[in-house]
Amino acid sequence: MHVQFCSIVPPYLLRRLAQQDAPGFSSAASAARKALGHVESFHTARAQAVPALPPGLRQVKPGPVSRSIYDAAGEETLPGRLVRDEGGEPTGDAAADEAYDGLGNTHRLYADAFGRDSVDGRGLKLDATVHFGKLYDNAFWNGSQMVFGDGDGDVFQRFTKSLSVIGHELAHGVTQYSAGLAYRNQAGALNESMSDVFGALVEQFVKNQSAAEASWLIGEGLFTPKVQGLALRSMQAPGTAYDDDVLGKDPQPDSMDSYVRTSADNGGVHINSGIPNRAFYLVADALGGYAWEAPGRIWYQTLTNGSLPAAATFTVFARATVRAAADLFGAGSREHDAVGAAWETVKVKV
Amino acid sequence: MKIKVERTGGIAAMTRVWTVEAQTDSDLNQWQPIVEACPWDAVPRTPRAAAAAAEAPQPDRFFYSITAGQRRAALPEQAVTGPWRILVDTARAAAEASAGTAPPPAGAEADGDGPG
Repeated sequence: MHVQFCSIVPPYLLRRLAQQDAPGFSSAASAARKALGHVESFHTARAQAVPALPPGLRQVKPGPVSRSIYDAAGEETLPGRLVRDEGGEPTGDAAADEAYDGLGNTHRLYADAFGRDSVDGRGLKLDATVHFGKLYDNAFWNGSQMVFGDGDGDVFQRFTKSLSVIGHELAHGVTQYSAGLAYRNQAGALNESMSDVFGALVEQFVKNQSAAEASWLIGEGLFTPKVQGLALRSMQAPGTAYDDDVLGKDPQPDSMDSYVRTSADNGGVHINSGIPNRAFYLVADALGGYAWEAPGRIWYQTLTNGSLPAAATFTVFARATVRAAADLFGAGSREHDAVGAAWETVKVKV
Repeated sequence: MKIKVERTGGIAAMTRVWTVEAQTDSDLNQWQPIVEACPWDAVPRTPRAAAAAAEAPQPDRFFYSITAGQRRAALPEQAVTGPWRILVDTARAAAEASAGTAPPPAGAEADGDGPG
């Protein structure tokens, strides 16, 4: 697509753009100069859902982690220059070393708590690129690797500062290789919620925090001190993570009563995820102890046992968690009851 | 001609809007080639149409809704390359320069509009 677009712009026009020297037009000029030199490229892998693994493979003992961290050096070409391979010495660059450590900790949670061998369950090598783009206010999973921006320094700091964000991005990979939840509407909000749940669990696992001790915040520490807010999202109290004069207020609903219908953000995937996020928190709060144990196992089983359709709604997912709780802990167990009660509180019909 | 770039999505899901009003002949002379370089007819006009046309979205990517006069385009971040990237970056820089500040926080409208 990039090539097609580039070829649409006649070279004379690119040359004219490249010569722009009026204030405010410098980025147009430099982009045009780049296009003229055919140096701008941006290839991303296609996101592709892969069916759940057969049970036999899921039982395989997880292997050691294998990480590679790349530096995009402010460009948007992936993966960039390799700066640290598995077992390599720290680079001294905070973003690269945070990414390396974050990938290791996330791999460890999946291996130790769930017996999963990396993102795909088959020992997939974990790649991450840091310093992507200029003042880039985002982190994402492109279907085969994680990508982290440095933030604009005004609202956001570098995105590797938050372990829950690193865990969030890797969990998108786990979802892609298991239930393959579609990234739109309720299935998309579930996809987002899976990433918040397992992102939060990585952070709690590393800090050895119980459900009562945990912050349940996603992206804590990403905002600069100028922003009035703690984090991007709160799983415990969706809608309360920030309330800033300029940013506005965290828009997440905490139950189906305030479900947001929108065509933006792929149908509000980062907004309505507040509802299943809170359901997970409520289960963890009711059961106490470490959330990666019973609550995490129930959610992980639901995501990976092959029964969840890619277009799952909240109700379909809720029912699947209730079944998983019954399978793992027995019908009428406190785990089973806690899951049912959580969905009732957030007003998702089971 | 009013040029408006709206960016939604991203892991933080905070909307940013950059608006520029090209009014003087000099403004129009600078903006017209940038706007006309974009293949408006070859891309979806609305997020809904883009969703129907596109492959599976990549998690946490930005999404751009762009208008210039009567023209509209709706593009995932990965498609904002070539002339679209030039248009988006230029509109952002111009809106922020016109607001006379450092890049404003997400959700803020770095508004290059005059009254009306």
